Amino acid sequence: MSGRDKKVVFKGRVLPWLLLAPQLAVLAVFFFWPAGEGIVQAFFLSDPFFNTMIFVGFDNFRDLVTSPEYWDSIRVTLVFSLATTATAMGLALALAVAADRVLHGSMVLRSLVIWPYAVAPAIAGMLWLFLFHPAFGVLALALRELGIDWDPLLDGTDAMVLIVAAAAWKQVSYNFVFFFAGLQMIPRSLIEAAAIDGAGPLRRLRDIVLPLLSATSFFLLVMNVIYAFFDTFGIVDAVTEGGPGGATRILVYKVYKDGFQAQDYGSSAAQSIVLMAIVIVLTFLQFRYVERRVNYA
Amino acid sequence: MKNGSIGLFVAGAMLALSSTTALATTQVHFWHAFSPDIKLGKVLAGYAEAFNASQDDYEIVLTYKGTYDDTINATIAAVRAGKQPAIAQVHGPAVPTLIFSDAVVPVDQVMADAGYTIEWERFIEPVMAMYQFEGKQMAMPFNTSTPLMWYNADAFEKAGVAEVPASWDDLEAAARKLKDAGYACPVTSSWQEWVVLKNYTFVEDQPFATKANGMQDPDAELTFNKTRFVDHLDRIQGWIKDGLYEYQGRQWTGAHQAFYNQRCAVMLESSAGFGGISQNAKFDFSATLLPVEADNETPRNSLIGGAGLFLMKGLDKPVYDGAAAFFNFLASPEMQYDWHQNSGYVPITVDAYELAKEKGYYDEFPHQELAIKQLMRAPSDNTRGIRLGYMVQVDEIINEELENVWSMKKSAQEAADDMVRRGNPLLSRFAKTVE
Repeated sequence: MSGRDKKVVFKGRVLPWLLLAPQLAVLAVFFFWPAGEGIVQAFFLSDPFFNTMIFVGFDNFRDLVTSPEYWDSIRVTLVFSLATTATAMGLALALAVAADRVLHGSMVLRSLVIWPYAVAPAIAGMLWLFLFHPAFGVLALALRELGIDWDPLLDGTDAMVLIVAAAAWKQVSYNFVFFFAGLQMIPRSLIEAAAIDGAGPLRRLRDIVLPLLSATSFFLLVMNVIYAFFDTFGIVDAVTEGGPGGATRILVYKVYKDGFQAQDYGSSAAQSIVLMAIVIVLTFLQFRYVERRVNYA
Repeated sequence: MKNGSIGLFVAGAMLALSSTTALATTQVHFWHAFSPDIKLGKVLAGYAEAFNASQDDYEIVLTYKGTYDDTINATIAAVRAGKQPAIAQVHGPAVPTLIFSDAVVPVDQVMADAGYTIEWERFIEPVMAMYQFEGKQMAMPFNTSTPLMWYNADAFEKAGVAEVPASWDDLEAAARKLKDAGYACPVTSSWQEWVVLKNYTFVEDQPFATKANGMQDPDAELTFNKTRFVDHLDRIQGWIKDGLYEYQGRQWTGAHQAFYNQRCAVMLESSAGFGGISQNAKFDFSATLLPVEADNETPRNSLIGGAGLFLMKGLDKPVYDGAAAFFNFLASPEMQYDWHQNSGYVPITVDAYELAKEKGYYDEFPHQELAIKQLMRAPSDNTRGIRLGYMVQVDEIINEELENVWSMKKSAQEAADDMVRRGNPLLSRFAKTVE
């Protein structure tokens, strides 16, 4: 069988496993074990000290799907993730193209664009809140001067715009690095040839640059969706706390809030399983339908 | 299975620990949420130092664990790992979690075992009641506050508000004058679920939930949607429509900023807000008791906020003796008076209050006495406290629905009904975990 072929490469079965062991151990301890505990927890109702653990079957899940607020959270999460991903990737691509064309030599400017990635989500949230809080935000007061009715404390759309802006701002740097590296990989000769053939900058972007960036873009799409779904609770916690009226109550924020602030471990675990399932399905769909168009040349 | 071996390991570790510490002073670990960078943290550190210097047997070891949430999460994790501190500072919403748990030892028992006779009746009642369970004192109150009505006295003068409003009707009349005088936000509130909802039900002697707000049994149901609170909510919605009230966010920052920059002239906010206000308000400000309904002849005590000190189970007697000695030290009238002055929180004993009066402290800072006066009103079953589970989630629901009222998406009654509909399943879920 094919196992025999492998033996030609690896002498004995021990060495490969030994080489894999450290990584597997890390995965087991930091991923599979807690994830497994989380799955078990989702079927129990318990006090935080685990003195009382009542098996409740699918009750924790039933409570979620029968709550209209939970379905609203799913809708809010999809809107938030789509908007954040589109904004973060769109801006990063624009910046990368600009940097590639204009700032070619400037290491300083390129480095500056990368800075926000180092900012913790909660801090990023606070920064944006200080700019846009209707009572004391510098830019919010400016908007008010201009006669724009800006109130993220009571207007759900304004609140959503604010957290999308904060979440996207943080992620733009990450995307920028990859787009910028991707652009540098594109052979100059291709672009020059197109230019000689009379293609303008936009045409070259559409027909040469973007197709050649498709592998990078696909990777970033997957990463950005995962970021928006999992990594953004700190921003919501600092900026809107899910308000107003639940307009920014994204799923991962509820997982965090119910688990780490309310110590409702059963529901929090059930919610995290639902969240994980949604992301798995989305990632699968991305690979199934989007990856087909990716050019790995 | 697993727990057994962990228990054995813990027992061994503790044996090793106690045999080494017996030689020197006994360390008493105290996990808290007061950053060492702010005044509260510095005051607390000063107390620990003073206590440690006052005797040779015990050493209080302070560890700053981050926010209140960080502190309770760290404590829970530590208990599960068998590495719990002796003392943990636990804030209001997490108090029921600890009271119903098997992880704490009652403070009165520890004090008695250590040989201290404490006159518990000399403590301020609603402050202590929050931490009483089945006749036992489960925690020592530490930082305690209650909301007051802070106002811009210059604005009152400018708008021609001659009398400080005492009733909600008075406040509405004053708000109209302030509006006419050009104030965009005559009235606001911080911590709305605490101030606008819970404290209203307390002062007006309305039930928040059945079974004395869960104080008798956590298997209770929210009932405030069938009380005068709904009319109150409707009134504030009307104020928002008329531009008499402006929402500044769930916590305190927005309301404070709007008060400092004189956008808002009246702020319903914690007595502990004094520190920030006194530093930042560049105008003549003052405070008074929370407004009451005009027909309310016996307003009740308001609801406290803040945190208490819990003693975690499973440690050695000398550790508890050390904690008891420290609590005894903290509860002395002199220390409580100092705490009152330096932190802005209320003292927890009547003796400390009387000492402050005697020293003439309230002649200089009259508003500091208001919070105590408000708390020393006679309580009823509606006002001894609130002890319901998953309060963090319930508060979140209340906040969301209040926002739906302020943004005119829902009427007061609809929102109150939705708070109750969404909150009650959480209460019964929690009740199942503690039966």
